[in-house]
Amino acid sequence: MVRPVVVEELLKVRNLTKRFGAVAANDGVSLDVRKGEVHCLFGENGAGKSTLSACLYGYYRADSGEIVFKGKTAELNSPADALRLGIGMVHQHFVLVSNFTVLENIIVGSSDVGVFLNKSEARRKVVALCQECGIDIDLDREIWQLSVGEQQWVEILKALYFGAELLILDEPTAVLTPQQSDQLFRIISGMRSRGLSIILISHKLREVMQSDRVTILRKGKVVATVETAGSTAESITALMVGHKVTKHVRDRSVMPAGEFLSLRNVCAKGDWSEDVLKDVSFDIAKHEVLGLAGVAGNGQKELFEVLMGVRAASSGGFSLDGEAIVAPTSREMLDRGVGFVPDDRFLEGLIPEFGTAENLVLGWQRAPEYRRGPFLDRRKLGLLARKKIEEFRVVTASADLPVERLSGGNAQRVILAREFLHARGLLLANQPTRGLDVAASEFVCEKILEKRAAGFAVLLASEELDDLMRLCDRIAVIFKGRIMGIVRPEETSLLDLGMMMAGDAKEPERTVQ
Amino acid sequence: MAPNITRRTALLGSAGAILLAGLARSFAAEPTKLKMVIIMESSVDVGWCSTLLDSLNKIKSEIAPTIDLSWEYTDPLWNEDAENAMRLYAESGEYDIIWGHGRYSDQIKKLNAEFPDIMFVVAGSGNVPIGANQYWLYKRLHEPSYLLGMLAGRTTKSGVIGLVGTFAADDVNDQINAYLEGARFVRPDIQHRVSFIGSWSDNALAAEHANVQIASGADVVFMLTDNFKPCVEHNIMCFANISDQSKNAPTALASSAVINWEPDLRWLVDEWQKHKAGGQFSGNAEPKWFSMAEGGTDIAPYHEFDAKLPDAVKQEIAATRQKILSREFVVAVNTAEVK
Amino acid sequence: MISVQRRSGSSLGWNITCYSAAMICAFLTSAALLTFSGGDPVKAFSALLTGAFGSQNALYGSLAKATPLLLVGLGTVIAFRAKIWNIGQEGQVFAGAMAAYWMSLWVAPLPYWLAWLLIAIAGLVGGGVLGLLAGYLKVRFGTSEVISTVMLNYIVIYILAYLLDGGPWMESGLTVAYHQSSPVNPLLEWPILLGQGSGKMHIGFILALAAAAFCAVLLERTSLGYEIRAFGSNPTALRFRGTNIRRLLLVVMLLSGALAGLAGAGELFGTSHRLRAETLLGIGSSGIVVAMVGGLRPSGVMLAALFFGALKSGAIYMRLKSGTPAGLVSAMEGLVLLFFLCAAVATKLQLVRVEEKVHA
Repeated sequence: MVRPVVVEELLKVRNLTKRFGAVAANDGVSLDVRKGEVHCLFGENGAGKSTLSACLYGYYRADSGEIVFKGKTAELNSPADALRLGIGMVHQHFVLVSNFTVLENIIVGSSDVGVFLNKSEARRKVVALCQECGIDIDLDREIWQLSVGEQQWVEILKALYFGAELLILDEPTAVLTPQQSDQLFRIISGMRSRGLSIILISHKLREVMQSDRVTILRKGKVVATVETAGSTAESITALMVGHKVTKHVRDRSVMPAGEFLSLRNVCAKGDWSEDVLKDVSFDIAKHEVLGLAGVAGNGQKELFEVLMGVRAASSGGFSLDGEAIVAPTSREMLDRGVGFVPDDRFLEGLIPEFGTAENLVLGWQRAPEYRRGPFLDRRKLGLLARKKIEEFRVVTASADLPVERLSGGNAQRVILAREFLHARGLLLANQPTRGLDVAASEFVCEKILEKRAAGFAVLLASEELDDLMRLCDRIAVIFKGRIMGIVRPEETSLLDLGMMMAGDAKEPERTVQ
Repeated sequence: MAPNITRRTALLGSAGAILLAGLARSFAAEPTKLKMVIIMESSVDVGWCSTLLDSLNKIKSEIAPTIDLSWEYTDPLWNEDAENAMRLYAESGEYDIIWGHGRYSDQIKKLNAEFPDIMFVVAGSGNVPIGANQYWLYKRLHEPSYLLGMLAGRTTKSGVIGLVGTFAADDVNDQINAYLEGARFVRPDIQHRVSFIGSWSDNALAAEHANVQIASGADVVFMLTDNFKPCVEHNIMCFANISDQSKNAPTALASSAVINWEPDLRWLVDEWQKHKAGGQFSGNAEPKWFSMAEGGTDIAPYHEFDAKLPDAVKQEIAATRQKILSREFVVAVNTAEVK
Repeated sequence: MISVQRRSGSSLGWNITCYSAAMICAFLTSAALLTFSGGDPVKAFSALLTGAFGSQNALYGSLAKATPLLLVGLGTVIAFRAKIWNIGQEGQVFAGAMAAYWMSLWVAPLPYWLAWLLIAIAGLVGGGVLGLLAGYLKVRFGTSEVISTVMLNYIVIYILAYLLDGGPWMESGLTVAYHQSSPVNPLLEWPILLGQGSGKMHIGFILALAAAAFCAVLLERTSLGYEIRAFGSNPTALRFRGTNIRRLLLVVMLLSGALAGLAGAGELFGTSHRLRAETLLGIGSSGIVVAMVGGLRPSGVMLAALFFGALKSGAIYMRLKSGTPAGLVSAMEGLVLLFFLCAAVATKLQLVRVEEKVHA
């Protein structure tokens, strides 16, 4: 190393401020992103990460401050401006046309398309990109046929196809399996070595630690920018929350007892009549958390839907508290005291245009306790909302602010508040900590353990294997709609779980009931 | 028209004015002012309305010695709008006659008792008798239709004649029957194609019906609505209704059954003057129509077809027309629906 | 530098500003149109105002014109708030009038209040059933309600044409005009509450006001209203959360159609007194415009209905007094809609002063 390393800064942000009403989502934020760097934005929900990336992508206009890209002041009035300069973004919520093919989604809106799509030329370019990045995807499938993970690849390919030099990934692994995450990070490091810069927004320390530098945000302000190599997970977490976080573990002195939910040979068809669940059988007792581990798209969603009565089982059935449930509706399941946290919170769990107060009674809008005569008791809802906003630390301007304006984490807290309030006996939670920051997801874990202690049976699907290992009494692994085995965490390693999630069921002796 | 000329004409025409009421006063004084407003059912280029304006213009000078007739008319108005408009005009007190040129007796029923000194007029089918100050004009075109039927019967080569009707209404059926009767009179084996479009004005639909009739052999078609494109396109002889429309399709229209409102106007002015002289309005309960002999209807000139039509045919029709005018021959009013 | 941004909340002052600006723009554009077509805008607008508000009778006339628009507008609000695109108001108005007319053929011997009630209910049921039919097609076969409601419009209008044109309801009389029934039994006409002559406000206006209050309470205060609004925002979540969305869709279509049907019954028994297609034509589509201009809120629809009612009522005066062509009146209605829709977008935006950036 004779010559000093020339550090080339691709992006410089100076004193960027963005206010929403009285709240400063970004308050004098300054940030440098170097060429060929993976730069992580780390912070709690509502710390201003998403707002900052939205400003960088031209979706919001900063109130003040300066953005310099490739040495020039960037005037970002729209995402189109950002794309032209070479700033691409993959959003938390995908923006794909669901009945277009992968290829069409990638090339739609591209400036060289013209009136007629030159698909063969585009196809060559996309195939080359796929090979470089190690993405294996059928370009002719339509988006609705893809798993969430695959849809994200389409988003990344799209940005690369547009010639992005700086790629903003907003919580990219929130929707991925561990294996897919690893694959994504291989892609990311590949892109880095090709000289691309990446801004990575993440809650997961494991991923943060794979970046080059981390900028930690708290309440809209930059706390610090540190070199990852010189930091530890603990020091970064402490910077983020301002204090240390305790990880909760289930209380082993409370033993599961008395079967509550019992599934026998449940089979179900998917939206296109394919078999998505095959002979699923398991039991969950009171005081028990049963984990459901699996790569996204292996039938978890459909399993929850069957249990919630929104998808019919094609054969087999289940019973709740000793009572066989025949042809259930979602109404019946709610009335039986089943709480449900769906994985797609804005689609299945919330009414986006409603405020927190109204969303807290979604599903219970006809319950006598929230009504006065024929009317919804607004005063009661208001009081409830205030209580739950405080208890679940929902960051919102008011109880009536539409939840579509809340961050993903805060929206999830609204769902959790509702479900923990209304469930009596069974809690179904599909990816409840997805997209939540460390403190928030620990809060969810704590609440789940509280329910376990209170005698609930809990079905918890999560991609956070660490969480499953410390929270669950047993873990069922699902692969292609089949339960590969049910194991006890204390007798199982992460590696074993990973093998089973990949379809390896070679250890029947470790299956426990 | 300048007042002094009017006065002079009045003096010169005093002999004729003897028939008119209030002779003494009109002899010395200004002619009586008669102001009329007409609520039109359709736009004034449609025959039903344009013929009325033509007749008004003709009658104005005719009665000028005694009556200073002036009129206004509206855009097409129906229903409540028409009622509101009539009320507006009635309340203004400026008008002696409020003329609903179509189906307006529903509206007049709500107004006429309130304004007993105003004469209300309605025209055509679909009205109801109210009597009192509502006068009900009617148009029967069976006589000219009979003549057109003769012309059709004489000129058709295929022996099939067509007629595109509006509704199978009372004052449509009379025309159709007479038309067919006239044709049968000159050619007993005549075949006919008659259809109704179910509208008073759907010209596009009328063209479709005409095309069908032509395709099924008709080579003379009587169009009761104003679309003669099929006639021009297929080089078929056609007739028009209500007004002389030759200029719209000179190569296809041989003649038209036309209406004149002069007798109607004369009658109404007369009735109005009786009221003015202190009499009661006595609106007719039966629809009032004026025959061809009375000048209520006629057939239009042949125009371009004058040279094309055989003289024998023209003479035959002219002779029949004369017989109708002299009441030697009576065309029966037959309002049964033709199937 | 001023930039346009999405507004985070809504402010009453800004809303008023936007809609006032829309009014002024619509007014000025109409005036320009009038001038351009050789009219005298001052004369025309003063005639318009006189016709709409110039006298007590004019005022009552405007209220009478507003009545069906308000009812149809409210029905539209119920459907559109659920993002169910019922655009079959036209046919539902017809169906309501037809059902009410049918009922009137039977109920004359009953006491007046009972007959009146049965006729009003028949109107509600007639429109409601037609709405329900479109709802059923959607629930059962997945037929788009946009298509089915428009198609049902045609079907109903043609059924009426049959009934009046040689069918059982054809007017019988001395000479017959087609496409209309005999007048309704005068004993069954709806009572006129205020006004006389051209400005007769019948009891339907009170029903429409009651319906507006009902809809406002329904949407904002009740569980069903909650479900209707939720359905419009995210039907999937509603389904996951225990609501039978098929039934909800049917209920929405029933309510929406019923209100339009009541409008039809009111027009027939309160105003025109004779079943005829022309008197009902256009009420449905104007009602949709009223709902849109009213911002899909019952209170807004009430104002919009009064505004359009006054416009319709004053328009005839304007045509007669200032010779304004009829087409211009429709054009003015269109302009009002256009500018109000622009205003609705503008209310969601704000103008922000942005500091000049300091260039490095």
